Amino acid sequence: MLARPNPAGAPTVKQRLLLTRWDFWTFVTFCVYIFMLAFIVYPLVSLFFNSFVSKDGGFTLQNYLNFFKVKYYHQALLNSFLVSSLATVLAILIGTPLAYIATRYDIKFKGLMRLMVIMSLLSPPFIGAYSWILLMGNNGFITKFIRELGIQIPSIYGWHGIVIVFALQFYPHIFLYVSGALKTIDTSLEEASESLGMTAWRRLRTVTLPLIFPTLSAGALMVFMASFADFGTPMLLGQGYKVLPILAYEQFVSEMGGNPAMASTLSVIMIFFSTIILFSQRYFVSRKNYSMTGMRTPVVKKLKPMPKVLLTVLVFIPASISILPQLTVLVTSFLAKSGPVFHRGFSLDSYKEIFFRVPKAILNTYSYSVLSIIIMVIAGMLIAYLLVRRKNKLTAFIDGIVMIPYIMPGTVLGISLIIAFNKPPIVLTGTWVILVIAYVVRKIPYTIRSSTAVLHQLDRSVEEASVSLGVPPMKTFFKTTGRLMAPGVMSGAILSWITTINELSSTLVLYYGATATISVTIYSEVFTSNYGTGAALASILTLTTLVSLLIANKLSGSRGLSL
Amino acid sequence: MSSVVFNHVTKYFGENKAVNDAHFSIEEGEFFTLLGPSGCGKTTLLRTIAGFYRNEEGDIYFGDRVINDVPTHERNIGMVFQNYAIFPHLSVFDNVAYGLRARKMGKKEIETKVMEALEMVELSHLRDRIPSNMSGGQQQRIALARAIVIRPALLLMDEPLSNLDAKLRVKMRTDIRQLQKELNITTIYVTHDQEEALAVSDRIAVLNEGVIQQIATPQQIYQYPHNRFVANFIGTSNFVEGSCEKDPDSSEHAGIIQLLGTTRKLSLHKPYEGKVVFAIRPEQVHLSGEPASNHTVQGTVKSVSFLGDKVSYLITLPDGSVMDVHDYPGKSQHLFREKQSLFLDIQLERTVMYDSTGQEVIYHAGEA
Repeated sequence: MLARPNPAGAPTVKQRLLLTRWDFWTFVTFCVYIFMLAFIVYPLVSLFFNSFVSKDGGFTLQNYLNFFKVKYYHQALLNSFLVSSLATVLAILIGTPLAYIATRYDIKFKGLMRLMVIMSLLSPPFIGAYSWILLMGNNGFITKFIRELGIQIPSIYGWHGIVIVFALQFYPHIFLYVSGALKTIDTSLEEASESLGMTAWRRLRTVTLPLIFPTLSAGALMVFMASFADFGTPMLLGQGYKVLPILAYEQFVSEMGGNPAMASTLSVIMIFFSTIILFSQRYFVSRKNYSMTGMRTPVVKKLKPMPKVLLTVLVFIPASISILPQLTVLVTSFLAKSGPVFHRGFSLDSYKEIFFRVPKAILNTYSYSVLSIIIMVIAGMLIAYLLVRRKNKLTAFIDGIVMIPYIMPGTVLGISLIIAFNKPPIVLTGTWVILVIAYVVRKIPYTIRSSTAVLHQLDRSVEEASVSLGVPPMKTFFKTTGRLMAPGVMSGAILSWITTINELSSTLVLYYGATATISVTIYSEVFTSNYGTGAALASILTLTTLVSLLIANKLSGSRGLSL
Repeated sequence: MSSVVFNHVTKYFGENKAVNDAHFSIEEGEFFTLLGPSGCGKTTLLRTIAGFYRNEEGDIYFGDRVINDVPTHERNIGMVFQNYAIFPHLSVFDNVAYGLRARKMGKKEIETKVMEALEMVELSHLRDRIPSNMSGGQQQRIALARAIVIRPALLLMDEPLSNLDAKLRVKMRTDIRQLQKELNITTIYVTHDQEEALAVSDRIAVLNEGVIQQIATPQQIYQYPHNRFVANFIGTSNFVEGSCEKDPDSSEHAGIIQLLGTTRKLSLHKPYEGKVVFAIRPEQVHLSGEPASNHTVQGTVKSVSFLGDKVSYLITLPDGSVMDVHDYPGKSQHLFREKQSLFLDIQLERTVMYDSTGQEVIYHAGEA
């Protein structure tokens, strides 16, 4: 009588497919697959094949051979690794202590500090570099001031400048990740260590740091990947110091005597190394994964007035330095000027000029971004639903594929889209459509992540109750699950939104005169030394970012932003 | 209202049969319970009926209609979930009205029906409240009202009371039973709590590892468990091994039983020789200070638990095994003390006897 599993009698895959009920979600799965194949897989495959194409159109390995033979090429890889690694180390050194103090002690103005840190992360990618040029370039405010004191200091240009700017912009990753880990750590472990007679410092070294290591390394990975992929900062500060994204871009843009196949090769190499870095981080973490019960979360230590002031000043030093570029930009945007030359005093000249000269760019940024975010929110929620509630082999693939653009540098994504869509059957190059596709593909992972997180917390039986009461699956989603997901989805969608309006690297490859956005315009303004108009445009982006963050914070209440 | 028929229904999870060849039917208006330990397939079977899972083999009928490929929302069922599954963004009234609105009913009719349903579950005074801060009992009442207001052909309940505290559970189960009788809705109820199942059901199906072990009324299931698993799962049973051989002096159905050093005769359902297992209920043993008959067994009291209406003894037998025995002492009678020696009179003719594997009934009292 007892049941024995009977493998011979189990239905085959084909039988199962025939038995699957075709509903709304089957349709969504189908659409997502089409979208992924067209805009992620096809461009990647095209890019890959293109890297093996010789000048006469045949197959060749010459591009890869050249990469290893010609110092100009492989030096860029080494440069990329050097600046990214140093920036990561520096970011860890800034971010970790900052996170520890901010989570464990009741310093003042915590909310403001957090906002400053997040803002410096979400600034346009090259605003940091650009402001540091204004401050510490050969003719910068600070450089001049110090020179007047009679001290010679090096300017911000060169590889060390790139490292500093990367670290200052990306340490918030470390700060946010580590703060999260420190908040959920189980204090009884630290107390156990204390009870065993460990001093505070050794306790930190032997218990706390090892416990947050997995999270810290995830944050470090983010810093490394962001630095590795960044285009704007090394472009502005490098002055001949080449990193991979710049090389790929230069090879691609033909007026510099480019070679698209070499650009593809460099792109494939970048993807290859990003993937290796990603997986090695996963591998190291998987061996050191501690499941944290987090039953008793740490209490925030009350401080006496003096130490409180001291610690507050201490954390505000890095926070202020990292927000300095955006303040500089803001101030610069109000400086009086004639042409590109600044005068004493303030005025709205720069703003007048941009509204007169480049209104299209402003309009483009907002219309493309709004369209993209609408697509991202809807698609992101639907995809998240498939991943969480319709788990099967088909949807598991989706999970892997939609995350690919997350590790692709923007330049590479742009190049792959152009190679895929500059020839029939589908020609999209030069249209705004390709920009929206790039934005959606590249930024949707944030929205998907926050959507899956909130779905995991939602009780599945709520929607089953709805279906059982006679409401079909699609309507059920929009009447129950979708509505309940909305607040949680927003924390990711806001990131998708902010990073989209600030997006430079893929836009730079894909835009075409009439489709220029604010970020591309800032880039060209800065290159033509129109600092005032560049600053005014950048201030518009910064203001939008700030307002978006504040609105999101208000709406999501205590939930805060999950980055 | 509808009958439900299962025709050799099998549901796979990977290679495993979560429901293995279910073949039975549920009558119109019946309160039918699926009972079994966790992982036995009872919830899977319920969710297959609801249409959340598709059975790979066999057919399910509502009345005379095969519903294998009818999507859930077209099955006209009402379902009550373990964790209430209340819509947190809707008021009590809107929660209950949800299914009626899906059925495109008029506003007035909805108002009347919802209020009627809310009155049945004694919640009409809370109609405009948002349910998220209400107690578990109240939330489950909303869920119940929401499920019955659409007058479903079938009411499905998946462990609806397991998140409530013990006292509320008893009250709620009585209420549910009463409501079900009043409305005469065919109901399929899933639980792992055997007492709950015995208290509310017309019939119970006991499941283990995906296989239905027995389908019967609560009384039959308690008194005549079909196999050792059911005897063990429903109520308490002491399993004692013995042996059985043919009685040469009597008809072929008579057996001579060796049990705990005593020899007795029983009239079997079928000829059997070899090892046997007895399922002895705690109340099927009589305790006394002196040997009452020639087949009493001596034992020692291991522990005494006074439970108010009865006393539960654990008694060590000569072979070292321990037996759970319930005694119902009158006013004057004293309790046996720990380590006290006493005599057990096992009322063998009231017990159930299985073959050595515990799968087949060789003997039980009353009709087969």
